[in-house]
Amino acid sequence: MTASADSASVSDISPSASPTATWLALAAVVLGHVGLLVVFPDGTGLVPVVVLEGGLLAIAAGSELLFGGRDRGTVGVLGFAWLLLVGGAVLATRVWDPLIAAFALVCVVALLSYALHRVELVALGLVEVADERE
Amino acid sequence: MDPTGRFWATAGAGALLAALGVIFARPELVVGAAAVGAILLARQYAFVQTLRGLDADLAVELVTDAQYVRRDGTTEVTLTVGVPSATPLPLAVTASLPVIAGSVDREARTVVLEPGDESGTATFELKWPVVGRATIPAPTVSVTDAFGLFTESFQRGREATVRVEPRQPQNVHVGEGGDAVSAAFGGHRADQRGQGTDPAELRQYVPGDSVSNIDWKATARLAYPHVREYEVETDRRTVLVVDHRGRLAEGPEGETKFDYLREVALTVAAAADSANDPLGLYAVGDDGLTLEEQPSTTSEHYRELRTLLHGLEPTEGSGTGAIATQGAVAARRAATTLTDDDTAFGRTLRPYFDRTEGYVRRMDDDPLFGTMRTYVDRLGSDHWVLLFTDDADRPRLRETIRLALANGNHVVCFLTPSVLFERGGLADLDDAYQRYADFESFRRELAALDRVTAYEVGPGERLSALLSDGRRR
Repeated sequence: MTASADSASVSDISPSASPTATWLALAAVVLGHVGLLVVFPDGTGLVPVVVLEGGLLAIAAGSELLFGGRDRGTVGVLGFAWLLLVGGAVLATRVWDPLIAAFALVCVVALLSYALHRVELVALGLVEVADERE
Repeated sequence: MDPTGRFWATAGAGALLAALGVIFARPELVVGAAAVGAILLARQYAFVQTLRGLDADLAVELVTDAQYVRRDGTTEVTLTVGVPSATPLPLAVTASLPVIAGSVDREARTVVLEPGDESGTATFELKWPVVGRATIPAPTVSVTDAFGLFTESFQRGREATVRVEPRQPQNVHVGEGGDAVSAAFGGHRADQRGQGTDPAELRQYVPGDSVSNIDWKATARLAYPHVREYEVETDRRTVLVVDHRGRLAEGPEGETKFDYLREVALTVAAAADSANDPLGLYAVGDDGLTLEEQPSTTSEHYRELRTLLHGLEPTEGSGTGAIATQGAVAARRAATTLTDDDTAFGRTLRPYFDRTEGYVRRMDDDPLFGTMRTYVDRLGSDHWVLLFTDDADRPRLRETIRLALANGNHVVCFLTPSVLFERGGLADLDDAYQRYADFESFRRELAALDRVTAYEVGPGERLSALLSDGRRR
């Protein structure tokens, strides 16, 4: 006999990082890549892309260190993910059509994100065992 | 893990980059989408890792100051949250409420910890307006990541159980001198032999005995005709005389003198029902008789009596009786008729029917005594008169009991000692014990009368506390 509707209290808390800090890395990524198009309207070589991605990774890592809890492990994961996804995207777009590359990218990100979600549920004991549910 | 609006905005920006890359056939934008995906995954990983550490370190405790509470009572609930190594994420812990509990502002039952905080406590009062067993669920912990991209809610700590009990007499003591007795009602021995169901004795056959009464097995065993006799059972014609005058409202709400007496009267009524004893009811208010139900044994009658007993409340001095019975209705009808009657007959009788609302009959004299004289006395002999009242007016009660004995009736008197119900009555234990001893001597005096049994009725815990203190002295 419990009331369940009022249990959530997420509205009582606010993120420790400001909205500006949240959007900083995203804005840098978007503006950086749009800028690349403006600077190289006829297409770019590999070097400008690598330089740009390196700079953006530095901005993203700095944002994590400054506003995200100063956790070097997270920065390491960020670097690894960046290398994996960005490197994979560069390779994919050179091998496949951009449509297929984009679709593959979305699938990989969604799968990894869902895997992390499941890991978190198991770690917190929030997963019902099938036998118990029956 | 629930994504927030910020998450969807970020993911949307990445998706937009990918879409534009496909539309304009520019791989750089698809690569940009990959960078956005890397940021999201890294922040999600950071949240999961931080959450696991926080969960291992988090201690949530929900404590109530009582597991039992009376209806409309309150319990103090304390919610304590501790993170010894300081919380890395902002978190809120909220105590949820059972359905049967009163409402409390969510802020009052929520502990919010900002990054760096180690502990927090919230204390709030919970009111319980509904009787039942309630479980306060384990508190809900809500966490968000540093960038506000994800949230998570889960329960930690233990649930607490509270039993809400009705405001009614608890641990009803019926006894003599502090010792509980179990009064026997039901099949009553008549000390006579004859037809019945309980075997009484086996005796030799004598001329005149019915042949059908011969116990053939005993006859064969004893080599001479034997007759088995049975205990004759009788019905006990019982009359409840319930005093519900204003002074019986003394005591805490739901545990007044009258509440205790009513519990006993209801028990007697149930026992009479199961034994099929004819049962009558007379209720006496401050100004006279409020209920008159002649003894009867129909099942509807027992049900009606129980309903009437449940509905009775102590009257107020010059107010109306709690329940208008058939008799009271008839009295009002007669009064209405007499209002329009200008004959000498009507004018003579009218004063006697004035202000009869709610009462079968008003009495200027002591109403309990008047009821016994006017109603119970005329029932005839061999009744068991069960009198439920207090000890406030002892001389009058003595007279009333003597009057009830007049026709050869038996009287069982249930008395509530005033000292057990007065506010602060046990504050001075010496004085209280002395007053109880005085009551006990009065009860013994009544019990010493022929055909009278007197019991005390009251809260068992208070009486035990009083007696244990008295014995220690």
